[in-house]
Amino acid sequence: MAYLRLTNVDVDFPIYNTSRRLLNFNLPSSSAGGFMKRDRSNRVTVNALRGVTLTIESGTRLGLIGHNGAGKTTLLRVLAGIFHPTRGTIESEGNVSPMFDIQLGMEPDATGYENIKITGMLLGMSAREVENLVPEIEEFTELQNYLELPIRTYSAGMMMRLAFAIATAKKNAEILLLDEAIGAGDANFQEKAQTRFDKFQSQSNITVIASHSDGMIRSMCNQAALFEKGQILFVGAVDEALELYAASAS
Amino acid sequence: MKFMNSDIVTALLAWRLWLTWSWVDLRQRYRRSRLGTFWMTLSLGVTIFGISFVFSGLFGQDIKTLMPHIATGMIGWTLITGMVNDGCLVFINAETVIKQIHLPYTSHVLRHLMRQFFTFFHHIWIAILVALIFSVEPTIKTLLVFPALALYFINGIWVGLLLGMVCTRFRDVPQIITSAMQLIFFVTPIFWKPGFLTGRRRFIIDSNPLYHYLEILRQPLLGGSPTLINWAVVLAITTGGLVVTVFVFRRFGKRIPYWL
Repeated sequence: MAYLRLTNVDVDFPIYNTSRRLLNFNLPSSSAGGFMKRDRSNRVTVNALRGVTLTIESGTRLGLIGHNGAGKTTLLRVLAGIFHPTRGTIESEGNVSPMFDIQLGMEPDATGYENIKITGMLLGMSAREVENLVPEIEEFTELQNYLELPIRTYSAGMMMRLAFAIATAKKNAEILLLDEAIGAGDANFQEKAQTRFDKFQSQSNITVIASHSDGMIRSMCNQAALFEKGQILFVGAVDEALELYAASAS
Repeated sequence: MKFMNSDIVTALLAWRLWLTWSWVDLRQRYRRSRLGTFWMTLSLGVTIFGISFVFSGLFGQDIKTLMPHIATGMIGWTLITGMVNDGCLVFINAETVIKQIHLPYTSHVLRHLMRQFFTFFHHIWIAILVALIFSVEPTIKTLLVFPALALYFINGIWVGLLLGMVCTRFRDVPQIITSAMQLIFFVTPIFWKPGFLTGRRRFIIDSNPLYHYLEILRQPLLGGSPTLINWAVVLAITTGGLVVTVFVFRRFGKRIPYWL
């Protein structure tokens, strides 16, 4: 059974080479951005996550909500194994499929087929898995002969179709991480794409999605976590979380 | 130890990924050009021929022995320089990918390293051509080129990991290293023969570790064999480098994305 467990996770980003004299920490706390302070060596750090403790069990579809810079994307990246926590621990079971940038790994001068291969392998599929998926991708994208041309000849829409098809092709994505801010969510979903996405999403045991869209959270999630300045204020029912968020924003 | 082991092992098992990736990287540089990647062979070949003609006159050396020496020297040096200079930028260049998906850091190193080796396999044809023209006979010692390449590969891994980490954290280091490599190019007997420096000046050659690295590759290609000192220096530096890299990677490997 897949799960994700964070215990007291801190993520501190040291900002190198800033001017020593600027930055007045006496200003009232802004409504955007993470928690900033100076560390021991008098260097500015942004404490993107502070003391985050969270357990995500199988079957959870968790929505992350909060203001800009609250820590949603950082949390997703910690869950994806990209950032190791500065402090605290993370345990996980199940393979993770991050869907942060749909066009990750796409090489403009390589052909459609070659991109399917490279991006597929980048996303963790074996060469044989990718080969088996090619017919399905061909059928979905409807790109026909264009797949033999370099993708720089594609229109933006065509490129999106191909990227989307590859990103949703993986068969055993157990933990799915979606960051709407970076691009997974702004694919122009037509019915066919929506169906494919729903199918892909339903195969996963756990989905974590960061979004600013109430509608998306309500339709896709069965739990929500409210972030503010790197800390989780509330984890629980979606409606309650969204109400709290709306209340805090006013 | 677990972090490092799993990083290297996972990376090596995923060989298809970085092999394909690096080949696509290389090929796309020459897209739509008529000669494609053959340009790599051609451009270095022309340089080698040009330098050989000029310097055989300058040094009063017979081109028959000088050109094979220069060809093997420049091919080997290009590989070494590529591994070092690009190794510095390994993580910096892969910043976007590193921040979007978790891959073993060694995979990024291997992707760049393979690109250097693919380039080498394009260049080696020049050496073969020169050998044919000047009747340089391959001998049984020429087989020593394979262990030499294997050592280069191993060194490429630790150099990429170590320098990659240091250069990601301290952005001045890539510049320092590029400048240092340019300087070392001149004090290494690439287009001049070691015999030109006699007496006390000889230490300039022998104390240059890259000279020894170059020799283990160059000598077999010329049908000779490297000296025991060459092997000893290379093996010592390889071992030392691996040990240092293991320590540094275990301690700081997890900080790499924070430095990007």
